Amino acid sequence: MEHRKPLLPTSSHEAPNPRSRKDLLVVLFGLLLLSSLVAFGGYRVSNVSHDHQRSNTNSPSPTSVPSSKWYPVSRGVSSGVSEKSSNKLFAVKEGASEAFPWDNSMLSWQRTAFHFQPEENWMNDPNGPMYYKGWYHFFYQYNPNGAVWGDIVWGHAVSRDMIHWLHLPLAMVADQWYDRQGVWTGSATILPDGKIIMLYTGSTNESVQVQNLAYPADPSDPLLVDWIKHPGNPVLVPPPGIGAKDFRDPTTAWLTSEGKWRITIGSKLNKTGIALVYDTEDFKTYELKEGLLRAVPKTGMWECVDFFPVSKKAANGLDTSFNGAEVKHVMKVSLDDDRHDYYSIGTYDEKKVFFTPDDSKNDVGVGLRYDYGIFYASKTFYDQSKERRVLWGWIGESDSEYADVAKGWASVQSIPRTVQLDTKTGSNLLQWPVAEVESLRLRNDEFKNLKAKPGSVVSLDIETATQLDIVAEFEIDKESLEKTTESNEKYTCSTSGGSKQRGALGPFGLLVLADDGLSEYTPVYFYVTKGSNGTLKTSFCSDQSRSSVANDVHKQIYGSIVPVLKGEKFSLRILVDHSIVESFAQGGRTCVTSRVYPTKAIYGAARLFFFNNATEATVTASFTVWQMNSAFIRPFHPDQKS
Amino acid sequence: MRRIPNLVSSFALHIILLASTCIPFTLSQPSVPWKEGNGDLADQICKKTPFYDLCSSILHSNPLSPKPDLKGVALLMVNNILANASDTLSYIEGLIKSTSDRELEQALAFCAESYIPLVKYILPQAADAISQGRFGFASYCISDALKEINSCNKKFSGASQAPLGDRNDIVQKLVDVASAIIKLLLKG
Repeated sequence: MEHRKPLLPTSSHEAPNPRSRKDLLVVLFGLLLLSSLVAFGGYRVSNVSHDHQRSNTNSPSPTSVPSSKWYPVSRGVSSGVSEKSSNKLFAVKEGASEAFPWDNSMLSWQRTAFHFQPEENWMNDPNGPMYYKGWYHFFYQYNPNGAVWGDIVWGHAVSRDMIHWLHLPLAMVADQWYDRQGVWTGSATILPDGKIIMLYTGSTNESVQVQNLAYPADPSDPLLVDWIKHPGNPVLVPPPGIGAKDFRDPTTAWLTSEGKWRITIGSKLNKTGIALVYDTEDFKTYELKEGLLRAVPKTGMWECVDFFPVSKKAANGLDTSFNGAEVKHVMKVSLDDDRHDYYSIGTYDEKKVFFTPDDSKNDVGVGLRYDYGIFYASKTFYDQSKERRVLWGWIGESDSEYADVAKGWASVQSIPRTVQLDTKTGSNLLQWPVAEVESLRLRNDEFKNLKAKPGSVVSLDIETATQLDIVAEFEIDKESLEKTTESNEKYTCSTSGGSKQRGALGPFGLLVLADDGLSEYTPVYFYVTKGSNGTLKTSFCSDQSRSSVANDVHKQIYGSIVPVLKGEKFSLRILVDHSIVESFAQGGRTCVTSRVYPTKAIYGAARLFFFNNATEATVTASFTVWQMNSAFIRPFHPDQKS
Repeated sequence: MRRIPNLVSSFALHIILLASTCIPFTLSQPSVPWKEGNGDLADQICKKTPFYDLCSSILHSNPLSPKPDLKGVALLMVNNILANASDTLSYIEGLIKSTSDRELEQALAFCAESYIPLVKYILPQAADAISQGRFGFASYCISDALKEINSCNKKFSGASQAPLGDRNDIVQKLVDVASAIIKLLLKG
């Protein structure tokens, strides 16, 4: 079973064989090289799906990128996975439009400094995350040939701390008939004896979705560079009644009380999203269980199902197999139809193979979301070294595909987040960036008790504003809270006017990636309304509508209601890292991740402001703003000094 | 008797000459290899590290194989760090149990969290890597080790340097020495 292990493409060309002594051979080789360069030189923006994209990333053109007419293109869907391209949501007229004249300065600024991303090209779903022999392993859907989805294989990286990553060679490529059309998403299970089982979806040479087993070639290699695919693959094919393209993304397995291993795989029956359940003893033969773990009408295809226990009392995470009275279970799905990740908290009946949500309004696929911005195909794993459950989420681009090809890359991952049950509310999860991200903090600036009157903007003087960790607390003055009249106003971030829509008690918050003249800015804010019998309702939003003067980037406003309990101040944390802004409210009760592409508020021109656009409330705020170091994510070179 | 080709006969002569000069050398190997003939090796190596005295004292107080080489020295150093770090970890854990100062306890717990992966994974993997000739990987491991020790050190910069005393300091110096030795391995 041949195993190609091409290294991630680097920018260095390979030197011609220096040992060739025959002059003719050298000349011939030179001619061949020249002709191949001529044939493949430069890059083409192609509108046809599955075309190989060869971006010329070695020498970016000097000043501006040639502008081009662009057309919305749908990738992936024809293969039977979710929409992977990024430009279907533009509020632009049908047909061709002139793209914004991006230049290399603007485009290269967009690369993040401390979020995981490969050196170039396209990435999507996180795969098989785990902790093994002192290293965190991260695999991911990767296209080695271009900055759009296609030719998917498994990329691989390792880290001691989930922040400083080292790129390793591709773990698995599409070299078998059963994954010829794509080595798709999968999960890792670490058995009690330390053995690693990797289950993943392969799209066969006939585009049928099947499940395959893989394992490390050398378990004593802490970096797990080489992988072996089980000779008996595939181990699972779509069962009767399930569509050939509706069967993907196997989960981490958990132990049943019978000592068998159980996994779940998402699918659909007409428009009802479902999760199939299989039991196995050896991960090679499986028994399809009669019941579905859960089925919810009108939710469509369930991708990247995740199923795990959370403790009702303690803050630590739990092994996937853990069960007991002190435990609730979480079922999470990625909805193909709307490209959002939903979770539901409930109870798991092992005998009946059934999950029941605590609150039917928050059933799987219809209730709460991990993140109200761009966050998809997420997956958790149990980190046994620190006893925590960690969540990874794919953050796609929200600019044009044309710009992605021009800049030579697309997508980043969220900073990994710990996940636990919010014991104060009992009805939602809390997510928080892993503590290790704090090792990137450099110097900080503190601002205590700044008062902002209604309709004011306060500049926060920090050195630079493109790599930040911001922690903030806000208070509305008591007088306004009492005086403000009750209203029936129902505020929804996505349909609101963003930071420009003024209410009595909001919006107030921060303007990140803003320029001095405020021609570009991204508000992250709270909006408070006072309902009947004086109850306050708080929304937490991230507003892209004025984030950039470019016309070919998303301008949505993302966010949701966030529970603010009695006695709590309004608190937020924001990680700003060039073109990604991750925001967390009330300790991680509501999270919003967005991608922003300013053209002016970049490099040294980016600023940070505190704003209060309410009409009545005076807001008092305290901030700590840290400059963040780069994580220096780079390839692992075993032959060189580190 | 067939005539032996000139090439073969001169070759054979060379082999015999070489063997006859080598054997006396190996026979005269002293039992403690650092003294006399090979005392220079320890000196050579330790001179290229930031802490000559420390390096020298370790190499001289540890028995080594008859043919010490750079790789063996690196391995010896890493195993020495592992022993020291394991010791320090036990010491930290003992301190945690006996202290009632909350702040101190937190700082010590943080240090324990740095030392555990060091002792459990990082140093053993560095040793394995050196034995297998994977010096690049060993280099990564050693710089990770330095990071862990530094982060523990930072917790105690300031007034209360007392609890871990010199221990953390010594481990750090040992790691610096090992790092220098591994860099030599990478060069050669």
